[in-house]
Amino acid sequence: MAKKIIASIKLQIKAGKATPSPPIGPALGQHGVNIMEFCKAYNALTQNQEGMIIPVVITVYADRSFTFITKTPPASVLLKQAAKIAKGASDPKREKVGTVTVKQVKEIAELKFNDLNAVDIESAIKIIAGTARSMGIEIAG
Amino acid sequence: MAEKEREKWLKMEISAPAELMDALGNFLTETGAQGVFQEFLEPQTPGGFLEAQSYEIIKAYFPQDIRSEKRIAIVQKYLESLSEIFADLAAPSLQTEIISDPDWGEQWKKFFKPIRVSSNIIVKPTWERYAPSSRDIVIEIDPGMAFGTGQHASTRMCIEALEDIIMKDRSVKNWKVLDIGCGTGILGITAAKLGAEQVTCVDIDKKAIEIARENAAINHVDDRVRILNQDAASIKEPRNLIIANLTATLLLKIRQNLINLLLPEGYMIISGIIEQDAKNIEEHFCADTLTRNRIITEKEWVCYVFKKSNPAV
Repeated sequence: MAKKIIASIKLQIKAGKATPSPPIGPALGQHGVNIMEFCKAYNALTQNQEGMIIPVVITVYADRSFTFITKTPPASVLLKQAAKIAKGASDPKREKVGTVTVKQVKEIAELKFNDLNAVDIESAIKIIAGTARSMGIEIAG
Repeated sequence: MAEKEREKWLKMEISAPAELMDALGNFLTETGAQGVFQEFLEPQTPGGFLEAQSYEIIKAYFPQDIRSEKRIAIVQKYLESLSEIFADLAAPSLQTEIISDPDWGEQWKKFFKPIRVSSNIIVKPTWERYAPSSRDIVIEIDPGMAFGTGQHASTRMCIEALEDIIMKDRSVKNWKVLDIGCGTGILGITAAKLGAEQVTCVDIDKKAIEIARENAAINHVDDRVRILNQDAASIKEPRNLIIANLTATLLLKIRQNLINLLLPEGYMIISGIIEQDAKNIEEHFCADTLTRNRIITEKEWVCYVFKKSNPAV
């Protein structure tokens, strides 16, 4: 029989740099997960991508054991790379900080497809385009 | 014990439509959070997400300091800007809370129970009772926020290797042990409890050093175990048993140091390696003077024991 799941937690943290301070401590501690065991495993798995944000989804079982899978970097991070900018806009309605092409948006949508709640590639592109707008990144073409 | 740091954190919690989560995570991180998280209670599939809901909640923590008010204002302004762009979606809302003296490092401890990690060795949290049999060697650990409870495969395999080497190789009279990246001190303490006369534990994390010192005292081996806030490169005196439970990248980085510090006919236990890195590790370590003595695996984790040849023989 499958073990009973009590929670799943999606964390966005830096590859190879997991420590017990927030957000990992509060995210996992309250569910009874051994925080240092998670940090060790995450760092071992992501050590070669240091500097990137590698999201991870942790499944916590009733006996407090856990499994996790790493995901593709957030769309926002990929968009910043594509637009060659360090930060998104703090007032995206009025401030434009960069531009990406339609092709780049499509590429990101394809890369992220499995992690998005999208029925097809068109709706995935819409989600990525929405993220770009939320960051003050314009889509050209 | 040093006075406990009084930590204060500013917690921000934003509920917003699911499609805004990615950008919100990015903005919170750019505003100074070390990361963000979302919780989904009792989902239907392991590792998966629930069906799209009308809104989700994202949480971030910031150090509580003079910048807190400004951070809140910046985030609030960003949310207003988002609700102008996405006028057809529900407006995001922000809640903040100051968290003093958090105990998130303590909560998992009630699930830490005594475990038998090898035929004779039991690891037991200091606060649990355990009635050992006559052959049992009991290691008591209060992990604090350091790594090494015996719950992780990489630690268990090191203990198994340690026990095997010290109990079986009777040609060695005086074990001089070096534990690199000692965390709670569990491996160095185990070596001392198995009879090693001289143990040095190093870690670059100051908090780990304090915790390891306390654990050495709890296990009454503090006369034989030295615990130093140093890195591997600062150790000069060679040993006949070296343990390093780190990551593959770190092991490769300090490989030459490790080899130089190992006496002829000495043993080296390396762990914290995941399957995908094992081949690379073996290629780099199985060279010159080292030969593979043993390989232990548990789930996706691999632990190696290498032995150094003696050029005089």
